[in-house]
Amino acid sequence: MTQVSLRHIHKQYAASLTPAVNRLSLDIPSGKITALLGASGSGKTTLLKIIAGLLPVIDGDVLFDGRSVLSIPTEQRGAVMVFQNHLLFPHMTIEQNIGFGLKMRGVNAALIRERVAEMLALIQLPDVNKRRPHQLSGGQQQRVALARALIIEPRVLLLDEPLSNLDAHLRDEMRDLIRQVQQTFGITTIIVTHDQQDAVVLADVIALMRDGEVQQFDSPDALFNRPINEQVARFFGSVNFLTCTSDGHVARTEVGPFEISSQMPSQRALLTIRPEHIRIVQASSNTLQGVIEVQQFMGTYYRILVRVPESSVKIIAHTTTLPNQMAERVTLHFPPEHLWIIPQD
Amino acid sequence: MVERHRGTPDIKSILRYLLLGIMGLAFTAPMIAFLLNAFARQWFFPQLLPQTWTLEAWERLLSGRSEFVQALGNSALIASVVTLVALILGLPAARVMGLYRFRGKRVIEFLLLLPAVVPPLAVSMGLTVNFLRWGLAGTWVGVALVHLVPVLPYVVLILSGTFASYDVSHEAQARSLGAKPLAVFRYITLPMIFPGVVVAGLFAFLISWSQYLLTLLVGGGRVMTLPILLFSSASGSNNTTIAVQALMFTAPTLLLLLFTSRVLSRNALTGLARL
Repeated sequence: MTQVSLRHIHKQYAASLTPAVNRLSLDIPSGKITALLGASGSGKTTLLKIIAGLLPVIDGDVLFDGRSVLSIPTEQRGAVMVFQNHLLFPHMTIEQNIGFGLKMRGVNAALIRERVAEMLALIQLPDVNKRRPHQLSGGQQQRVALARALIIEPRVLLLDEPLSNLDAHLRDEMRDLIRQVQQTFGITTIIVTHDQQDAVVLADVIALMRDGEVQQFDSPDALFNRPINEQVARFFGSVNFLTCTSDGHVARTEVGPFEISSQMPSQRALLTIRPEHIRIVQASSNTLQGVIEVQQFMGTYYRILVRVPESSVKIIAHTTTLPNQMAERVTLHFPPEHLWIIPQD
Repeated sequence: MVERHRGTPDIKSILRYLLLGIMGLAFTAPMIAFLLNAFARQWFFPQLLPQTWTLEAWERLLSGRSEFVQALGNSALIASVVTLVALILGLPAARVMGLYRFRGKRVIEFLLLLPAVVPPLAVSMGLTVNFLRWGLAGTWVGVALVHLVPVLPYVVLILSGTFASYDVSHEAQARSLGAKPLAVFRYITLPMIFPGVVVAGLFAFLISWSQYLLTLLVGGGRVMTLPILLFSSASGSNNTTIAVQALMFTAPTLLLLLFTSRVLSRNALTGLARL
């Protein structure tokens, strides 16, 4: 169990470029899965390589359990990275690939074979030990790469986009496997991903990154429902924003006042609500009149665009919750408990 | 893939086989002449084959400390040392050329190729003067050094082609798994670029092995290698002697080619394609 602390990490690939990581500090909890989430170019993979010791920093410090590891070379740091394209060694068998880390530590051949067999059982590929990497499917290669990292029982496991090369059904399997081994071994795990779905499902905590900085470091639930700014809200799928002035339990917008459940000081702010939380109802409080502009059937739900005065509102509605007869004019209900205020400067 | 035609062959495939036949003949005909000559005691004009056969020339040339055996030894020693040194010097250069993009890369590529393009006489005349000053002229070390001039460009070019299709992240992965730098080279880099190393080594060996002019200039007649001996006997000796020497000169190269053809993969050929 190792706690990873990043202190003012600064990284620039060239003096003329904007920093890839900008004076970033983060305390990554021990024995949990932390996701570094962000679009490409947000600095998340750079950060992962810095933790692994594969990239030097310009400034700042990386600490494992409070001790700086910057002077410790990659091979002795105990932070094993699993790369996006899994990078199995093509000239070695699967058995040799998985056993590589133990061989480098001088473990004897018989013990390596025994441990490799255990690992193959864990990743449910018991009979592939004599095969070559190219004889395996992409999903199998990814699992072998994971086993190759786990066998040396690293202090920190670093996974770079572990799911991005996999088909939809393999993603679920791989997610389960990562969760399972992380819980079995209790290794501090850091996952880099651009997919908020993967981050939400896999991680205990998520650091949302943008332009080399952490925007919000919180639980998946908090990022989803209590985003600290518009970018975070948009990244997690919020699409409805109304400028407002908050005042206690009321948010005053151009289209009228809305009751909110949280207490907010008086300030200029953005009022946001996730599309799946809006109800189409008969008139009541916290409502807005509108005209349905686009209604798109998505299988189990509808995507609906409602034109309201001065703006439009996007709604996701399950087929079961829609009224039988959809009038063109509808009343939208914004439940106070789902309305969220984002303060603005 | 060569298309297979059934039934009457068309004009294209006839031409193709004709061309292949001519090329094959051009390569094998001199060898056949050498083979016949090497065992001929008496062979006069109208006869298609020698009248009497002998192993006399083979026995004479390959016995003990003959001049020929010494030249064979010198050639083998020089070519082996040149190959080893060229690989050691060429690997780091090729790695940089193959893996990284940087300003002036094309210029450096051109400069690297220059010794192989510029007339060897121009390069070696200047070198010989310096080698005389340093006491390297007339020694096998001097000859080996001057062989590196035409050899290194080929080695660097072939290996940089190999490195261009080599994913260097494998090394980062190996380090992350606990491999020290030397172990990374031994277990990851070397095995992965091995086909290219074999091809580059083969080229290095063959270029050194068949070097005449540079050996003559720097060796000054005191370093006797096979090509030097072959040239002098080609103008003075009998046909049988020349034939045996020519065969012995060709044999190692053919054997090497056959031996290494196993490791010639697509990977290695990308290096060749760049030449």
